Amino acid sequence: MIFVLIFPLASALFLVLFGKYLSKKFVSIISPLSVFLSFLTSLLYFSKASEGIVYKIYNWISIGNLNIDIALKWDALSSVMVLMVTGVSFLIHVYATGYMHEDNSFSRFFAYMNLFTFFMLVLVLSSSIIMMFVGWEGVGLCSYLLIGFWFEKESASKAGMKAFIVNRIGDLGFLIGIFWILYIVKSADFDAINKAAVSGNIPLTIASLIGILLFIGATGKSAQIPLYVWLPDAMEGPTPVSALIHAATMVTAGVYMIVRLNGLFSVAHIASTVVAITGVFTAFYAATIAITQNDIKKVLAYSTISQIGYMIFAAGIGAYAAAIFHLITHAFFKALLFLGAGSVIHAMGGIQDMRKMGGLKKHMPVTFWTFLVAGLAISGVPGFAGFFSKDEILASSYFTGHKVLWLVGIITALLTAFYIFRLIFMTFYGKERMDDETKHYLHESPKSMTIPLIILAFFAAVGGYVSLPKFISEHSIWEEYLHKIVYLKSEIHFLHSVEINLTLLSSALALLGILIAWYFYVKKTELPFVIAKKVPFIYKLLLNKYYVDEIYEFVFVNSFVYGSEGIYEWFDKPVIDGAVNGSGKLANFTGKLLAKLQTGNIKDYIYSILAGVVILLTFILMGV
Amino acid sequence: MLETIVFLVLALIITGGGIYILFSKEPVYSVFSLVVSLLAMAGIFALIGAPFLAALQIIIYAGAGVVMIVMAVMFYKNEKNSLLELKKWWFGAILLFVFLLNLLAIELRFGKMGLSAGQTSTKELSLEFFKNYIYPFELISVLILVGVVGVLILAKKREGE
Amino acid sequence: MICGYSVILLSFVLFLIGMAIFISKKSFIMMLVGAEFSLNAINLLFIFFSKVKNNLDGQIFVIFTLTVAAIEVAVGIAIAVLLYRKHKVKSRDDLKELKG
Repeated sequence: MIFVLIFPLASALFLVLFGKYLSKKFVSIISPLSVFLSFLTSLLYFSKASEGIVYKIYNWISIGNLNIDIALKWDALSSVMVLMVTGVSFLIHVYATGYMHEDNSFSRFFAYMNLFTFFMLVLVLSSSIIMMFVGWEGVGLCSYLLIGFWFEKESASKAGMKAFIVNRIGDLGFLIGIFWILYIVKSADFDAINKAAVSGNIPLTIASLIGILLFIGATGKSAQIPLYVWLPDAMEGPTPVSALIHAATMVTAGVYMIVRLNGLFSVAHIASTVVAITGVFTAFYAATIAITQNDIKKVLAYSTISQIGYMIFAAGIGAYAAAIFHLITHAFFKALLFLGAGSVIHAMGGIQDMRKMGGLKKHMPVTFWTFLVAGLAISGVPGFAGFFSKDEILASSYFTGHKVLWLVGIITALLTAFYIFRLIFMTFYGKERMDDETKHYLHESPKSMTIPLIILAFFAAVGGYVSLPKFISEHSIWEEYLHKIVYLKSEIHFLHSVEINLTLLSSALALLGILIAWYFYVKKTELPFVIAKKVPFIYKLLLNKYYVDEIYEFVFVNSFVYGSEGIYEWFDKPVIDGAVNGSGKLANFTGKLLAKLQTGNIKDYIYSILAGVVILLTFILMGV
Repeated sequence: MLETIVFLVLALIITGGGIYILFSKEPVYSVFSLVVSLLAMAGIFALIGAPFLAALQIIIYAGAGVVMIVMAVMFYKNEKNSLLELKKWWFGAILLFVFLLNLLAIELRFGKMGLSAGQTSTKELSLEFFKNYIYPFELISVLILVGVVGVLILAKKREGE
Repeated sequence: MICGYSVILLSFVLFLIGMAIFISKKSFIMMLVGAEFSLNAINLLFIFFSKVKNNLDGQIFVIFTLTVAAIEVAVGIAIAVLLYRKHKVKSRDDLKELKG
């Protein structure tokens, strides 16, 4: 089992150490291969997962009665996640061999990517929350390294730092939550934490507080309100990175964490309510921003935030299987969207502005068709993966009595269909708005890029059939499989007649969204400008992302800067500097005194060591 | 009874060897005396029931370790050892005194301790070793590697020498 | 049967002799010899207590000590040879750079 982890790590270390001497061809074989081997290993062990096995590797920390093992948890949840992570990661590695081909730091890129895969697997496989935190920080580090991969670009290195710092805020909450858990449960094991929560050993208010603290960590990593601001900027990284880290895997870590600790969260009602509301609100909020963005990757970034909002929402209302289901389908179609966008950017020679694209359909058919599949999947058109998972979330929310949240969710579904088809129509249809030089350069991407697209498109199309809506089939393989990891089991009763109507409604809304997008961006292309002129205030608000970055800058950064200056003037100079200089002087003085002891004569040193030995021995033997 | 005699003889050989080293002026003889002492020590190991460690002692110490020391002694050519010279003898004397006092404490605490006659089989030892000490074992092999590389780098002739 | 106390006594005496060699000799090689001697005394003690307590940990520790000692000799001699080659230093009393 441990081999799942070893392959990517070994490859990463190998590339870091010898990357300089290897040819690009060799790197582009060994790096995807290691992830693929990992994938095969996890496939091999898949049958064992349903029982839930813990592979103990080493006793890591043992203090008093607190024992923290390095152990791998191989159960229904982690097995599904590992298969997704390694599978998607492998495809993106293959894609990246084509995408990054002209980059000079080829092996460095793949070293980071492999390292990321390793840390992501650690996060997913860990059986204790401490080890999960190691993976959690590890993926954060790799994310930082890869966002700032083109560190020559100032915006890239700034975006990397922004991601890092915003995540630190979230991690602080996460860390406090972990310590609190350790203090109360006296164990870091997920099983023990969930059992303690379910059996009522954690007081309810404290459980809620811990839940909220952990969720703050999740908002950082999974880009939810209020800490989502780093994700759009993270698009400065290479596109495969955006696809792997900032769409499919790392950003879903928060969802995974909540599902992993489902015992705690289903007991802590206040925390789970906060989670659900934050999730659905983020979904709506990010979708409204995505409507107005013109950068192809920014649209997808806000779309990711929105979709993760759905997952968080599902986890918050207790539909854990649905949350993970949407996580997996989202991984397929969002990775596909990003890779497709990458393919477009690749063809356009680095241009990301959709206003300069258009009519790409005939130039890059493979990219177009796969992109279309992903677009249909994310909008929730019946038959595609996103339809099943999103519908399950919405139906669960309706039947658990969260009707208001359901309403917000279903409006978001409409917006989703609209913005994603706005993107498709602006990019692939209409007039070719690029300049002649770019136009001349347009080409379909190489095979190494299109084949992953096709495979992902296949999964984005059919991936949803593992869990059919309840009115078609009462037993879903998916839910029965994932049900084993849920601690506080509660059946959600689906009324079939109502569910059919709900499904019809959301499908209709998805089609309506596509239709509106078609009307706006194919039929009457001047219409968006007219509307933008009519309601300039809303348009500007959305275009500038509700000015959140500016507000954060003003409230947090400025107050921090000015506050620090004040502290520097009134506290640092007299008190701290005084203390520092004083201690320096003291050290200088004692140092001069003690220097006399240092004779430079080795014999004297030996004598003093020996004296120490003898004194210690005497103390031990006298039993003091 | 026979055991005790053997033990006493071996103990005398080791102690004698040590004292010879202490007072000898001739480095080469000192090293040979060390070999004799180490071999005798291996004998004691075997006597108190650790034959595997006795073998290790002969192979590693008396074999590899001493060969290196002999090489180094050759390198130093006919360098005579300087005689005992203890300037701060009073300090050493105090340490020695306290040290010997400890023997009394040991007499009180462990004086009646007997030694079981059983032998520790290699199988037993290696099972324990590879079950519970596998990670330290791997680490120490890394340490050896570091040592070898370090020595190579140290001993390498640099330019301009 | 060997008296337990005699083994401890032997170990102590050997440790003392080793230390005395270590202190009194001036050449680095001879100092190493003294250190090896002391280490051997410690090993004896480890094995002895391992046998008495019927616990294999002591003997396993001896294996580690042996390994570390071997490395120590190698590195120590390398340093001594290097000191001789570079600075013509043979005796430890020639090294006084550390004087404060």
